[in-house]
Amino acid sequence: MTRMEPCLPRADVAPNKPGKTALVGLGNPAHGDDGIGPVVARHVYNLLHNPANVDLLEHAASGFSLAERLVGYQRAVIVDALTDPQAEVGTVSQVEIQDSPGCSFLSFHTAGFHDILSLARAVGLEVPRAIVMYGITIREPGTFSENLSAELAARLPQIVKAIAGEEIRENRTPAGSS
Amino acid sequence: MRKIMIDPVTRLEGHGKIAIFLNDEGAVENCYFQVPELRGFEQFCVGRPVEEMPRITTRICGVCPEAHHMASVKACDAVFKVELPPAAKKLRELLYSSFFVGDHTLHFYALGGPDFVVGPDAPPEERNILGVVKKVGLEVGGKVIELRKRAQRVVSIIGGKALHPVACVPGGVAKPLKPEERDEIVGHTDYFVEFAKFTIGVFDQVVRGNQAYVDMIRSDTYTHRFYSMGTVDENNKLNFYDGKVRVVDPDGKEFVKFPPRDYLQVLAEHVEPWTYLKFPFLKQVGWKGFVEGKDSGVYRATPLSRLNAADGLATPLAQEQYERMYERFEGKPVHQTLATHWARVIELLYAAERAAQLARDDEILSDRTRTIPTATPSEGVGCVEAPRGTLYHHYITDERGILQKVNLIVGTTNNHAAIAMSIRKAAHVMIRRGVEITDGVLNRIEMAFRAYDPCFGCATHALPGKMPLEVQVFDSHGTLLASRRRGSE
Repeated sequence: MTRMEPCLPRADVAPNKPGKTALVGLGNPAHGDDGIGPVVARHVYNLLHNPANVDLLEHAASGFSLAERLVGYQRAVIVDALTDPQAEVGTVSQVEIQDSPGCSFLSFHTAGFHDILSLARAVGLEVPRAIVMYGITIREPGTFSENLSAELAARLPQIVKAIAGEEIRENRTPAGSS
Repeated sequence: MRKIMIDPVTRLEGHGKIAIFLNDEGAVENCYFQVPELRGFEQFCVGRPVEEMPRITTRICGVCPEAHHMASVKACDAVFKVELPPAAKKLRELLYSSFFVGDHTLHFYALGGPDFVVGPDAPPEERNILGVVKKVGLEVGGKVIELRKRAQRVVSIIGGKALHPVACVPGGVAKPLKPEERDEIVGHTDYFVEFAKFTIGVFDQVVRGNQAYVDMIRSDTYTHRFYSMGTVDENNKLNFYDGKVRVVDPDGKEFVKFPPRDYLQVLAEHVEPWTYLKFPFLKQVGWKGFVEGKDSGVYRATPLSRLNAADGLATPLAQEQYERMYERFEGKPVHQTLATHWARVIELLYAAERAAQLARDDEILSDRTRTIPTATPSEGVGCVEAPRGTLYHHYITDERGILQKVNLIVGTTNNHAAIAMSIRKAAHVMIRRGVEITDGVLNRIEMAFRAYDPCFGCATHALPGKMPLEVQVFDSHGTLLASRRRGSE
């Protein structure tokens, strides 16, 4: 097999962030209600006790690239849209991620979020030891829009309160927070 | 708070359905490939200042925002009739080549490669990048992560942001490159070249070194004679960023070479009742249905078709690999769909070498990176080679630069008819009376379309992982016989 030269110095694109939490608003702001994640994450960030230990990230790209952005963080909180016809729009759910490092590839285009975190861990990179994911139920948007639907926008205060409250109550804010 | 369990975590990046219908004899009667469409992009854009488009279009999907950024800003250059300073062209191409390196790497190691490295019949839970690492070595995983970081870093330095670059503006690039940034980029691009050479070695060893895979690649099951499309420079060498679009016929003879602004004279779109997505075809040949050959206007715009359409590659190591591939196939063009994976790793090497060349070009340090547009805006077409096909952005504005009309042909759309036919042919061969429809059988059908690296990324991103792909087989009475959902097991 072809050999590579020894690694050149590493790019400083994902430095270790010991003790830090990534608060990720996941979703596409041009896809209507799919953009609820970044909106809620911004509000939650402002309500946290010690945001100095929290980096607010907004992400609308693939699971692969999301996982790459989380390398170096101790903890990650992800807020995303969730399609669930059984639930009312605006319902907040805590999504648990099963630890199955061997899961199959997930879309046409990206390796899975979990695959990449597992890979990063396997090669010795620091990845979040805890990942909490909140899903907010939406109706699947059918058109491009920069606006949330009226139905979802009306639920925004309760959604933010539920997630911020859960984070603070469960003492999930980062070490050093008050 | 309500709790739900998802395994695995998925992000929906466009999902599709393959529906296979059998006849009374148990053979494939019909096969349809469908994808949903997120509507209203044109209406979303109309009424906005055109200069906003390079930033807006990066939000079309989360897969190749850099390609949309680049095609969009080139369309804006044309709308404003502005000529770029040489440094701006080179900086854009450097950014774009780096993006290509990261994107092709992802496909080879994480998406297409697992079928070969781990095996097409391996359990789905092993056919992924972790399976690749297990087979080829843990250090490969580290290299892939490192490569992707470096590629994003170059995009970030030149483009102002990784993932969703913002620095390309009508007339050039918003900010000159600092000498220390250039020095850093040189280090990254050197890594790209070493990594690409390493990947060629992996492909040789794992894929070309396995006779079963070679036989599969060369088999008629995965072969179609289509026209081939790709962008070439003034010497007919492949170029991802700029040039004329060249189409060669199934015998390899030049059929047409045109500036992208003339795309509507060359391409037309066919509509089928069973899918929203259109089927572009060569207007001069005409739509003759889902048939191959010189009399059918169906074409491909893929890494393989780009190599078919070009007379060579402008960098030495990639040119060597290009010649080697055609020698192995004993001629040009190559029509074996699975050879697209080979073409992709050759393109990876070309993109890496091209990035390294541009990084060492002193002109990229010029302060003059933008020509301020002064002409009255009107209409323009921008075109680049996206990793998965030729990408056209076409804008029409009023005299104030407010968008009146927007038309896009994205990479995968070019290949829609070819993808549908490739799936259909594989299904015809794989599914017969008495053959158990196993996951391996359905995976081999999926391989026919995975080679295209298809992207339907303008769908939504909502959890919980609606299936990115579902394959269903129905008997002649419409009863579901078998179904496989990727990503849910």
